[in-house]
Amino acid sequence: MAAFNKFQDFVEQLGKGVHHLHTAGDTIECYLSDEQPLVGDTIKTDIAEISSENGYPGGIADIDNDYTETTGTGTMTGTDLVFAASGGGGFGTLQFVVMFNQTATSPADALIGWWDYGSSIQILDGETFTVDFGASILTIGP
Amino acid sequence: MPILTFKMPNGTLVKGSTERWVSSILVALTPAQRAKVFELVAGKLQQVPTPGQYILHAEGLNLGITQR
Repeated sequence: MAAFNKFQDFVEQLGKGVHHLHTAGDTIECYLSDEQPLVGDTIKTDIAEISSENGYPGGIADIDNDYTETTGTGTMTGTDLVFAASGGGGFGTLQFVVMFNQTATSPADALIGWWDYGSSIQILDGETFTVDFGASILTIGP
Repeated sequence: MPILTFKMPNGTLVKGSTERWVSSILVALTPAQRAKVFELVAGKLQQVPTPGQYILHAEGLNLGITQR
């Protein structure tokens, strides 16, 4: 399992009402990067995205986020992402999956968190890279 | 994820701990050889990978608010 690493600014912007994690709220997206994210990064442009090519759409990987509460614990969920290399070429190299708020305007495209694949890989034509979110992306509660 | 030890078709013992590693091994094998490896890894990985299918299992985070 790849650990969720939160950007420090995320908890600030969460408390200031920038992030609306439910379905009717903001659009949360992920992008792929080969640049090591830093906890002090704040917006999407702080971390370079890999090139949009050969099946990698670039910056439009909507995770269909939702946020619900049960017995005092809030849970953010999302739909798994599958990037399939096609068109005779591949994409990458990549190592990190970065999640951000595409709707946020101040700060624009505010960062939320990232996961480290553990090594830099290239996805070749016909191969896929899947991000499996499991039961929850994050929870807030005891 | 635990360290896994595989006995390859040529008898070589190799170790690895990530699905990417398993996938990188499988791409070099014939379908019959892959099937043998699948027998070895089945039940030990969250999802048995196939060559060229890379999976990042994203762990959730609890931001934590302590209730007094």
